[in-house]
Amino acid sequence: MSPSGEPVPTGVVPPTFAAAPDAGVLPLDYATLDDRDVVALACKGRETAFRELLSRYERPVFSLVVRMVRDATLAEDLAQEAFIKAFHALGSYDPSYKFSSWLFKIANNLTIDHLRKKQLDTVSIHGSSSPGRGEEDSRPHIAVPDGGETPEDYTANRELGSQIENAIGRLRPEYRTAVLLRHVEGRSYEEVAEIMEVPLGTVKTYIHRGRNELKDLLAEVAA
Amino acid sequence: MSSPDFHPDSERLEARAAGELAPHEARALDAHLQVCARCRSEVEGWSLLLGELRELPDRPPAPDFAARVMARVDVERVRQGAERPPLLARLTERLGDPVFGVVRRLRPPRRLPAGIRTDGTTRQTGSPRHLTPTGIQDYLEGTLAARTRSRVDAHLATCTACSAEMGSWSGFFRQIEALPTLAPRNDFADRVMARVQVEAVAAAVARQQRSPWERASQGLARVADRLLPTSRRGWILAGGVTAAPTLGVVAVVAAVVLNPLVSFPDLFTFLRWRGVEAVGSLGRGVLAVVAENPVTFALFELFTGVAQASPLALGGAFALAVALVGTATLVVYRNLFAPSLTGETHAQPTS
Repeated sequence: MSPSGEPVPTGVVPPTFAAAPDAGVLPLDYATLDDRDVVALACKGRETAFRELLSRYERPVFSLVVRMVRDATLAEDLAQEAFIKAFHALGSYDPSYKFSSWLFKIANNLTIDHLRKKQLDTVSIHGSSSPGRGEEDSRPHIAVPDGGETPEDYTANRELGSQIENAIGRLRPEYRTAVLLRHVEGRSYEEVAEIMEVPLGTVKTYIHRGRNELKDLLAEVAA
Repeated sequence: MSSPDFHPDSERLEARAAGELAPHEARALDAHLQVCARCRSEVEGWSLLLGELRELPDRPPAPDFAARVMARVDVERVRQGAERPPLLARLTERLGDPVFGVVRRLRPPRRLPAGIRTDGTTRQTGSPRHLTPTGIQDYLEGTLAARTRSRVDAHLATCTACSAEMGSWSGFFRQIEALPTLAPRNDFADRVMARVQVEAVAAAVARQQRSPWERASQGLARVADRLLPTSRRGWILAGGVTAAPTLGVVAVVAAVVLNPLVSFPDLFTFLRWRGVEAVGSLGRGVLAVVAENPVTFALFELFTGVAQASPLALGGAFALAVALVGTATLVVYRNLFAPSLTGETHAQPTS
């Protein structure tokens, strides 16, 4: 039995994963396994492996998404969709890549799709009422906590109310993703490029410009 | 290099402006500059700065230049060694000004640390040079080369403005990196797992990991399944289509059975004769078309020539044919059968 109470059967290791770690009946400590091993176990239908992946990445994925969409409830929905989509596509996951990068890529694509769709939904066919501020008008706004929100929602939304979070929220989505992945998630430039599916040079440009804009915005607020 | 998504570092752009790149490197960089306004602007900035440095006027040395030089020359020792101090003194005194100017002209422009630029007052001699935001960010992220980094260090040691800017950026980095990781609600995992079909995932993975033959047979079965009618009207239509030849065959068999003058061997002989006749007619028609085709005729001439050529030429032609066939086979294989040569399965789920 595993620490979580799940029996650990002896099974055939899926061929795409060279070393799935359950060749035996010893208790299995999921926390000590690396992502690829946990994914291999999930591919064999082990619910605890799915939960382990969730516990490892629910916060990073949610953090990225909530800072992109600026709404805790919506971010939870999008993060959920990302996990479900990733889990149902585990068969096509290539273990030569980092699982976290793959998961972030799915979450980022879902979020960007949502933001684009929202932009299409909200922009009038007659164009913006204030031409110079069109982009800003279409940006996602912070959801104001109402009486029906849970304390957790409120906490997340309150976090988003700080100066730097507000400034991040005013960046272009591409800059926002790149800066968050680089500085909040601590991803390398190469990983950010892989997650965002853009060339390395583009990522460097995004990050530099994003940081410049962010610093200017913070200076504006401070002034 | 010419992709607008790739940007050379500042040191390289500066080297281009200074004309220090090898010709082939300069050509490659120029191709990029044609499509990248950002890099072109940076090179233009460097060119302006370096040009201004070169155009700095030759300033005559101070009147006491010769005296200061001579004060540091051990005249007595030189005299004892080579008896040249008088000449040296004369030369220093007489050529001090021209030598000073020539040396200034011949000396290559001073290389500035990467990311260093002039401020708006570049026309003024000795204008301050400062690190760009990009240079500062690269420095803080540790992505600068060691040599460039040491030059930036040297600049920071003497420039209070850049030190202050560096401190500001450093504080900004700390601020952004201190952002907390936000958590979803506690039941997030339960809500996800309620929507994940664990068995379906395992089955899908197992399906993908079957042998190619199994996958091929399943694919054929799926195709056959798709070909079967799915509605009553479809079945009626399919029945009608298949009934016509079936009834024809039944009618022939009935005619043979009912007619005492016709036997099955006679029927088969007749059908074989008609079949051979039809195939023969078709073959003759194709042959006529092929033989009259100029391309076919040219190919025939070619092969005739090859057949009469030396064994060496024959071997070469054979090798060429093998290479062509091999390449074509590889192309067909890669396009039709090889799965995910570019690792596309990694990206598919995100679409």
